Formats: sequence, structure tokens, C-alpha cells
Amino acid sequence: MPNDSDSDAALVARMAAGDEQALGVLYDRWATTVHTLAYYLLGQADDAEDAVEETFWQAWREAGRYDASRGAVSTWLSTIARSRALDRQRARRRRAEEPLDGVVPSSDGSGGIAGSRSPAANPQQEAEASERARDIAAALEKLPAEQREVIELAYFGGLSQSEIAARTSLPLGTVKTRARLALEKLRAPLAQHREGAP
Amino acid sequence: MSESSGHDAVRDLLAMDALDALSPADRAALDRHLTTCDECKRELAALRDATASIAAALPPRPMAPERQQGMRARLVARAIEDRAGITPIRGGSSSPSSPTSPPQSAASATQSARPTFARWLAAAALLLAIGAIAYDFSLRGTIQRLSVARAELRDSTSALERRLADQQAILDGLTGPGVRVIDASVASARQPYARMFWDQLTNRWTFVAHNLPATAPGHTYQLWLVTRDQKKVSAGTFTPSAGGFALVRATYPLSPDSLAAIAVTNEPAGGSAQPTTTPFLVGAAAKTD
Repeated sequence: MPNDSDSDAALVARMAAGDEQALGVLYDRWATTVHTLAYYLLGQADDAEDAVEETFWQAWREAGRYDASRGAVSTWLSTIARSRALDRQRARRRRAEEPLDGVVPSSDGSGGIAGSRSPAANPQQEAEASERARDIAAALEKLPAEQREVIELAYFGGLSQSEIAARTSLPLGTVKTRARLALEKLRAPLAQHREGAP
Repeated sequence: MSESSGHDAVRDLLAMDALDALSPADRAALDRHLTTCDECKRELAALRDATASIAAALPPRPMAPERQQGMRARLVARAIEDRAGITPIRGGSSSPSSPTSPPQSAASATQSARPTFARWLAAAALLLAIGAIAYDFSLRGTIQRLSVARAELRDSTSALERRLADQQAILDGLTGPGVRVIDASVASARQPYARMFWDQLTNRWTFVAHNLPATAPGHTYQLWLVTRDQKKVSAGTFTPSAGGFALVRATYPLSPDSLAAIAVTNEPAGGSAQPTTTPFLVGAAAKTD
């Protein structure tokens, strides 16, 4: 556990003051987590690495805007990473006119993930997409299938609430409620962890 | 709207906001509520943490160590450049005045004695200062453009290096000195056939197949390594291209004599822990001497 002067928040404060070594330490600490997220969103190692670099660069440039009351540094980094990865995913979709069905996982977790499939995707990418779908399903296994679907579409597919409602043929209110119930379930272990922390 | 009904109305919006999936109208409504409700702010922060926890639950996918270190070095170098770039070279507001303003006491002493000369001197200094500022801006613009161009070139080079390394890895898996080849085929109209390249020095497996029929919706092919003690190890799932082509790469350590065969089965999408159907393709591995 880092001490106070080396905590994530302290590193971000040092970055805001122009300390590039703090950026290096934060990178060492979170690069794998950010890369993992980018990889699962994009499905391609090249794109994922570019998204990681963009994420930490944006963190450096916007360190002064980090607000601890809005969430932990890891949450802040994940939000930036997801945003950068989804930008790439959408750009790729526009370039390839990728059908929506190939961009988000199917509800049974068997489909391609987050832009990993396109009409020209090769078999290796298809196989990797299936593997990622399994991993994501495992990560969200505690959720009921209907809640998991909403989370997958929003989080990994980058769809808006209206797009999710259209895709699932559910009323918008149901989509919102399922998202809330899902996040509350995901939140419970975090709360327990914090209560159990010294 | 009462306080409690306000909470009820925004509770669902908080979750969608944490997922960054809100419509602009809902976001505006939520932002208005958050300006006066600390409880919902705390709730939103907690839901954002919960959303971020999804990433932590995924199996880690680290970058290759050398690539990770390379990226770290690039980021730190860019940060140093960036920091140097944002530090005012001559001090933003003071730069125009410093060259033009002689020390206050000297100015006072000369102003009454030689007013015309002092004005000319001031005007000349002002012109020099304006020129210096314009040059400074021009220089900064050039540096910025060069930095962007360099970053783009670096990105492009990195992408090419990654693709080259990927191609080289495939080539190594097919042509390395320790590569064994296992063929698999069936007798049918379309004659699907496949070939597995096993690089025994690096434990890399490269499976290439042709003429594979498309899988039914909800199904996928799964590749297995069958050991001599009948253990079936999954080497991954795959779906062939429209032309029936497939390429699968895997890394799995296996002692040279322990492979009995490779097999491909048709499995439910996502794959199975063990084969659930009769193998569609089988290739027996010859014993090594």
C-alpha cells in the first residue's frame, strides 16, 4: 500500500505541478489495468496500446482537473481509458461501417466484443473475440443475464441508454432500472472491501 | 418536486451517468440536481467506482514488458517537453514590458533632460519587443507543429513495428528450427484440411485451416490438443472466414512426446471445457524419435 506522499491522489497532484516522474510512477501502477480495459473494449493490441498512451497523456494534461470527490484515481483513469477506447471503437465502426451486431457482445456472451468484429475480421480475431466474451461474462457472472446485457451494451459497447433500449426492445425506464440494479450489485463487494479495510 | 421524489427520479439517472450512457437532456437534469444534493454526489461517486471495478474483474492483459517500458519512456519524455513548453520563456505578462521599461530611477532622471530622445528610445524598444514577441509566438507554433508531427510519426512507427513483430511471430511459428507439423483432414466434397505448426522450442502453436464450412449460429469451432494420456487441452475457439479460412495461435507448454493428436470440434459459442461433440477434424501426431 503506498504511503500518503506516494498515494494515487498525491501522484496526480504532483503531475498537476509538472512532476513527470509522478506520471511514470502512476503509469507503472495502473498501465496493466488500463491496458486490460482498452484491450477488452477494442479487441486489438495495436489499438489498445495507443489508447493506453492517450489515456496517460490526457491524465498528465488534465491532472489539475482531477476531483477526488468524483471518485478514486483508478476510477478517473478508467473513465478516461474507456472514453479514449470508445472513441477509437466508434471511429473504426464509422470507417468500416461495422454493423452494430458486430460491435457489442451478444446477451449470451458469445458474440464479438466491442468493435472486435468487422466484415473483414480474420479468424484469429474472431477466436480472440470469443475468448474475450467468455472473460467478460465471467467478470459479470454474478449479475442476472438481463442486467448483465445492459451493462455489457453500455460499458463495453459504448451505447447510450436510448440505443440500448432500441437494441433490446425494452422500455427506457426498464433499461435504467436494470443498469442501477446491476451497479448496486457490483458495488456491494466494494463496500464490503472498504468496511473490511483497516 | 419534493426532496424524496427528486431522489427517486434521479436514482436511475445516476447509474446511467456512471456508465456514461445518459441522454443530454437527462444529464442536464441530473447536473441541476447534483448542484444541491451532496447525497446524490456521493452516490454517483460510489457508482462510478463500481463501474470502474468492472475493469478490475477482467483477466489481466499486460502489455509486453519492453513495449510497456517503451511507452513509459515516451510519456515521461513528452511530459518533460510539455512542461518546458508551458513554462513562459520570458514570463507572459512581464516580457513585453521588461525590454521597454528602463529602471524607474533612470527613466525619471532622463525624462526631463532629454524627452525626445527618451521617446525615440522607448519607441525603438517597443518595436524590438513586439518583434521579439512575434518571433516567440512563431517559434512556439513551429515547435508545437513539429511536436505533433513527431508524435504522429512515432505512433505510425510503433504501429508498423507491432505489425512487423506480429508477422515475424507467425513466420517463426511456421519455420522455426523446432517446428513439428501435424496435418488434419477429412474426406468430403469440400475437403477441409488443416495443418498445425508446433514450435517446440517456444511452445507456440499455429493452426492454419482451409475449406472449413461455416458454423451454425450460436456455435463455434474449438481446437484441442489431445495428449497421449487422453487429456484434451483447449487451444482456443474460432470461426472461419467466409472463404473457410482460419488461423489460430496459442502458447501452451507440452513435452515433445506427449502429443497424440490435434482435433477440432463444433461447440456452443464461447467454447466448452471439454469436447462435447465428435471431432470434425483429427490429425494424429507422429511419435518423435
